[in-house]
Amino acid sequence: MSQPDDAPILAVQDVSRRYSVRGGVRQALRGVTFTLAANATIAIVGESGAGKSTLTRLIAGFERPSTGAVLVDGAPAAVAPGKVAPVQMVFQHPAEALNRFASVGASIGEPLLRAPISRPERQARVEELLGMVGIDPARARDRPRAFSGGQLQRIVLARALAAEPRLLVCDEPTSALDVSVQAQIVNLLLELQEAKRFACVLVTHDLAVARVLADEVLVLRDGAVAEHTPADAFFEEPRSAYGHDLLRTTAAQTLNAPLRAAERVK
Amino acid sequence: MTAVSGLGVALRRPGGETLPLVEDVSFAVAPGRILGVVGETGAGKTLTMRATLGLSAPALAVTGHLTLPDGDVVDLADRAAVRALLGDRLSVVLQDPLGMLDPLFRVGDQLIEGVCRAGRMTSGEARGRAERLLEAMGFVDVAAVQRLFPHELSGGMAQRVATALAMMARPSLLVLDEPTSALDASVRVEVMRLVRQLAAEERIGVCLVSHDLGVISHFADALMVMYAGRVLEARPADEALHAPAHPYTRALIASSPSLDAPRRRPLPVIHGAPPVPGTWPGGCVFEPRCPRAADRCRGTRPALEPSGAGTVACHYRHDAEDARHVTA
Amino acid sequence: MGVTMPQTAPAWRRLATARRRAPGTRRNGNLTAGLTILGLALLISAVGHFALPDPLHQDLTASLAAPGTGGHLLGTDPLGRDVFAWIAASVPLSLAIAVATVCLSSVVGVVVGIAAGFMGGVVDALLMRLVELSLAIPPLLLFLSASAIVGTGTLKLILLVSAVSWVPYARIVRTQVQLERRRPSIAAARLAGLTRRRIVVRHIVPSIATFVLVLASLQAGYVFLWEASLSFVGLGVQPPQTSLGFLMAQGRLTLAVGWWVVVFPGAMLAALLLAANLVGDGLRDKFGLDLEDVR
Repeated sequence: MSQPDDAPILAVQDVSRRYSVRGGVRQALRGVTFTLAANATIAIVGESGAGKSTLTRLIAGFERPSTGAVLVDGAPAAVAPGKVAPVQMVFQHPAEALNRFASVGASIGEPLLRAPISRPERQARVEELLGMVGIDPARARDRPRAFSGGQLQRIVLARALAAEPRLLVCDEPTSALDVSVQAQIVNLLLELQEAKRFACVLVTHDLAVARVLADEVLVLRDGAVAEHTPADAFFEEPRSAYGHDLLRTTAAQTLNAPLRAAERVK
Repeated sequence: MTAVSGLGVALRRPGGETLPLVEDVSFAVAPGRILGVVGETGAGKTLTMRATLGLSAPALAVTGHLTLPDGDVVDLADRAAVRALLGDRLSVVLQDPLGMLDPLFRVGDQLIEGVCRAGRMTSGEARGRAERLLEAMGFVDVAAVQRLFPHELSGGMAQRVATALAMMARPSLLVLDEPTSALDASVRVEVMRLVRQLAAEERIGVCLVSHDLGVISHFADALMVMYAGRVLEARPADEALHAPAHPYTRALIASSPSLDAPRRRPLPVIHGAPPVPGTWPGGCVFEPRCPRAADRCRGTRPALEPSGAGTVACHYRHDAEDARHVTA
Repeated sequence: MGVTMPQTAPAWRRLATARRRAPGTRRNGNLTAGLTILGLALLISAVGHFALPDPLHQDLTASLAAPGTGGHLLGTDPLGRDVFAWIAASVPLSLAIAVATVCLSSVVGVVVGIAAGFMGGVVDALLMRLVELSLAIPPLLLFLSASAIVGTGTLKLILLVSAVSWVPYARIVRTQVQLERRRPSIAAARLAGLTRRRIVVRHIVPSIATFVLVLASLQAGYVFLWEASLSFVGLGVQPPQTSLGFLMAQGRLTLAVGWWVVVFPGAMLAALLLAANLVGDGLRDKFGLDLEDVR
């Protein structure tokens, strides 16, 4: 099990985010507060419109909160051209997360462009990363269209790793993938996190994926925190009524535990 | 019973050769019951469904027969004949429900259009049925929904409207193609519950095509597992989920997401990927990925044979039966 | 609503189409036809350059000779200049002007479009007002006024026509850039520390290349037309340079007795225009683009 270091890698302090829309103001987030320890994984769950995407953008540093602060490693989260961000992302649709006009090797190498290494060294690093995510390094020159969805998501992970992130934000990383591939990607995430020791914010509507990956669960509802509970406790017994509803809804469409237990006996 | 027998789909290549995409699929759906067709992407589920409905692309060659509850038999190769049944005895709700609705017309008008045009009901009868179906699909203010245009519907609403539309003509067979992938979790459960209830009431046989074993496990009465263009196993849902005979089914169950998986432990996976049409193994199609693969699996393709209350295509089927007798 | 699965083509369809686009299969009639016409026009020019008399050579004794007489295949104009020779000499110039104008206007339009689409906000608003201003001015009026001030000539023609043709590029590029910006790949590039310049060059420009190419081909047709029109009214290309429009103007007053002076250059102009449109349509179909706003 990962041992959290002392200083939290991510601190979200009383964050609110407002957008001006036609006819007024939309409050996407209100008063969200939580911290995340250095090697831990937190799952942010909730339905569409709950504010998960907004929170993702704030953590990655694409937007600043209207009030409050988002601190990554003590510094305000902000994306700056010319600077590799300490927060990297994995997206829902891997094909759209890669430059379709460049080879996957070039995409993976993008975070390494600023590094003081030579071209051959960069090349070698890209091939090493490809191997780490289970893709044949000889395919570094192929374009994204030559790969399946699951393979593309691995490539996206490789690129994120190239930046040696302290925090990885995964926005619905498995939702657009075939069910059998989802398990492969989940396992890959587990493996990489153990090896590279980065913290992870997993945004998902799929509680089953959260079950495997998360150390803590944060339930968002209408922009506010409905509950923030350690994972084992949450899946045993959610503290909020809303959390209860979410869990019950998922259970009603997920393979039942007794069925799987029967499988394991065989 | 609506039954399909010997369904095959092949791609006609320039030069005369054909590439088989689906081979020898047979299934039957009883009125009011739900058959879950499960398989990974590329297993041939959608091709099978489209062939059953006469919706295959022109480049595909279809073989097989469709038997309707009244005894009529239709040759699936005769697309025109099958298509004539679509919207009448056969119906479908596709993955994108909004795509099934015409953006220019109100919901209410679209619901009655088909059955009135076909002369099956008067517009008064059709309106009455539309209202009943909309109520059954969980709409409270039925009159208000009927006045809406498709773009004013949310994803869940559109799905329910499309399902009501599909049931207007009281078909013998309703095919739902990945009906819930685009929906929120809570809406998904609601929609499936309503469909199950309505299908039972109206005595409509439902074919639920999905890669999501979780949804199928909760709503299907029988299961048909497809892989590489063929059926590997078919049996009542309970038996399929508790005592599957095929290693693939077992692996699918084991690797499906669940809420009781241990935290931070790798999930069981089926290594590799399903074979692309044209690269199907000569023996058992699942053999390259099967944990129980043996020489006879590589050499001979197992036929689909009776096993328990269903069928399975596996050389180990006798072992499965023995195991079932032991645990029973 | 909920989570969506992007619709990708099923595996069997990729197999089906892979066969069809095998090299050697002719699918794009438009493109071939357009290029063929251009090829023929250039061939005629080459022939003319080597085999025909000097188009500028005036011979008043052979004024308005009918086609086929006195060695003039397509006749002569009121000043005895050979029509065929003139047409042959005009084609390369028209093509050169078209290429120059298209290059200039596309570069300007693309830069404006990228700036507006990528930077948004005030820059976008300002540039779009500029676009609207451009569209509001009737081109002919602009050309007449401008020529009155700066005079006539080929270079000025190129500049003037470019000044009104850059707008479609800007609009299409801007829309496409706005779409591309939303792509997660751009977000990832920013997280990877890429500079804006590199993002534009590596991510954005490739996505607009096909649009610009198609638009350029179609715009070339407009340039042919504008060049001929301006030369017709005496504002564009001047002798010693030859223009189809200029020749047509020469034959205007004697149209009843010397139809060939207007019809043959007109036919060549029509052919060039057709070629440009065929190439543009062919490229558009080949790239599978949906170009709504193409002026």
